[in-house]
Amino acid sequence: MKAAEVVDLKKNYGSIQALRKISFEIEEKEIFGLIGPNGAGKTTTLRIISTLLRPDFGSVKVFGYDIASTPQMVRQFISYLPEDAGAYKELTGLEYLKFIARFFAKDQIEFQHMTEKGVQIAKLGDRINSKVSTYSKGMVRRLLVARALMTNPKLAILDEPTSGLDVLNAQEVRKIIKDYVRNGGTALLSSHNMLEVEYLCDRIALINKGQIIKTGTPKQLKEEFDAPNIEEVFTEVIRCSGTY
Amino acid sequence: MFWNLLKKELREVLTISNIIVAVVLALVYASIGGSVGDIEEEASKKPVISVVNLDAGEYGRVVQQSVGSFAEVIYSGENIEEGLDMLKEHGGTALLLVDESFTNSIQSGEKARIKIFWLLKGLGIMDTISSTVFEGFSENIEKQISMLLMNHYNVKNPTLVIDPIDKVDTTMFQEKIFENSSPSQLLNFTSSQSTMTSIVIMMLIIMAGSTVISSMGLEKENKTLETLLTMPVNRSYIVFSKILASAIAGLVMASIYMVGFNLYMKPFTASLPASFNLTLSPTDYVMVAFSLFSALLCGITLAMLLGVMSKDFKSAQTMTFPLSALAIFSGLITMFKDFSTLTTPLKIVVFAIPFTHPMLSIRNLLFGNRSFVLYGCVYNVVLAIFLVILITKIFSTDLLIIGINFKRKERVNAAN
Repeated sequence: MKAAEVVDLKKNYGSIQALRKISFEIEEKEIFGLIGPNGAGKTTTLRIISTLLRPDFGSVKVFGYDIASTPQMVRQFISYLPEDAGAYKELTGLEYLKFIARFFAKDQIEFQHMTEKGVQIAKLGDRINSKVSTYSKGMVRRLLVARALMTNPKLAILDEPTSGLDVLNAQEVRKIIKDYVRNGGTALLSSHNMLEVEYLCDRIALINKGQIIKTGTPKQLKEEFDAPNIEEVFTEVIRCSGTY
Repeated sequence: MFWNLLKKELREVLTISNIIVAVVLALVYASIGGSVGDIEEEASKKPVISVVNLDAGEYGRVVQQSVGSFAEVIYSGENIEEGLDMLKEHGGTALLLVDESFTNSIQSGEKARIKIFWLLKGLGIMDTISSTVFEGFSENIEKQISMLLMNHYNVKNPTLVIDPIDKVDTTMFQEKIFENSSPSQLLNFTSSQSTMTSIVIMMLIIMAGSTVISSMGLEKENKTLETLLTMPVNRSYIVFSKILASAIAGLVMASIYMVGFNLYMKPFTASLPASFNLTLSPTDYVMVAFSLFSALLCGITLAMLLGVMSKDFKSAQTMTFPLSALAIFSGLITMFKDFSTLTTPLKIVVFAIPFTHPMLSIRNLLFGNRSFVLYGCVYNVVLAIFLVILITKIFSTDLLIIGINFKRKERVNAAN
């Protein structure tokens, strides 16, 4: 079964076309990356798949469930991490993880497991018992990544997961995502950091001005365009497609 | 799941710092009230005065004798300097100087003169109470001397000459007749009952409203709302938990404020005659409470609607203005005009503001006008239900995420 099937997706904001009939599929247990510049339509795509926005046209299925007709079902096995998100500042890190776990856990044992996993992923040590308001940006992001992955989602939707982080924190977050997929999860992430995507993703879709220009594995794309890295592939693809 | 959300909402809105601010403000109110003291107690005290009587005649003695029953005389002599010094020393109010020609002037048919040197300690209400009390004394002196003069000129009934009319007030209001009561007495009585309610409502609405708007603004700014909306939880639970938490927080904060405010107002509240036979029954109190709760619900749901429109915490702060303005408008207009005397368009506007109903509830119930309170409650409940449905619908649309913005470019940027 496909983790996600996006078919002819369109989304307009007034007269502005944010998405222009985009289609792609995500296989189970892969990391699929949407890459493109700011305003390309990455966040809109992720928000639609996360059931936050309704598409104007086209369909999205997540593990066979349509996001428009069965959003509540879809929400049971996805986890969405918005870009630059925060957590509730009056809660401690641990209280925040418990708050989220209560929405997903079916019993006390599962709740306990989820919380422990969250603490393990966040790697905040004793600071897990401090209020979120006292955390650095990197600590908040680690907590949020832990929150997103501790519930064992079948599909993790991560918008710019390392945005604004220093090298060490970004590396740590990348490692967490890799581990999650290695253990059977599927991830859809967006980024404008081409090198990060090249390192993390099994397959990528290049998006610009609301259109998917090219899809493939990083290796395939580099070979096709005879480019040393994805950044140069992207520049070449945009130049050839005339969407620049 | 609802309790999980409610607990989180309460943690967010009822923070220690918020409670400390409320307690500190309440203490400030209370301490101001304490320093002002009790006006009634102050008014009942005899003013401290000095008397310099330079007149040895009949009328000078009358003044000297009657002053003793009105005031605490700390100096009685013939030296103005000494009298003033004693007055300053004892924190007195005035020095009364009776001219040496006082009796002679009256006897020769001329106006006599008493000179009063006021020692004003300040320009506050409390500072001028004793001087106001003493002003009553001079009127009394005039009456006494007039009586003596009339006796002297053989007037048959001097009391009638001085006070020939017995004024008896009867006030009719809303098909009720209040014997021996003037409109101002009735107004004082009802104001003392309803002013406090209006202030409580205004505080409640502003407190609870700003709490919910700020909470929405913070959720949007931190994108915690986006996270919450992708959770497997019914969206109406999210709406209800926010409304309930804000209602609880509003009630707690307003209670803390009101304790302080009550202590602040106590010295200013004069005791009022209980002869009006206007009391509230237990049913009336239930109606007041229901009216208050329904208005609070409307206030919170309105605030939530405004919060939905905000983009972040900063813009949320400005959204509290329309809500506060409505509460203040309602409070002021019902303070200056009775609902029944408003023009029809203004009546519609005032009735449509949900906060009007609890503000007017006590006044209406005191005069047996239960139907107005009942209609107000029904209107508020219908409005609150409508707003909750509207907000739940908005929570299921894109509007919550992309916001209500008429500038296309900003909308696109917000979405990307």
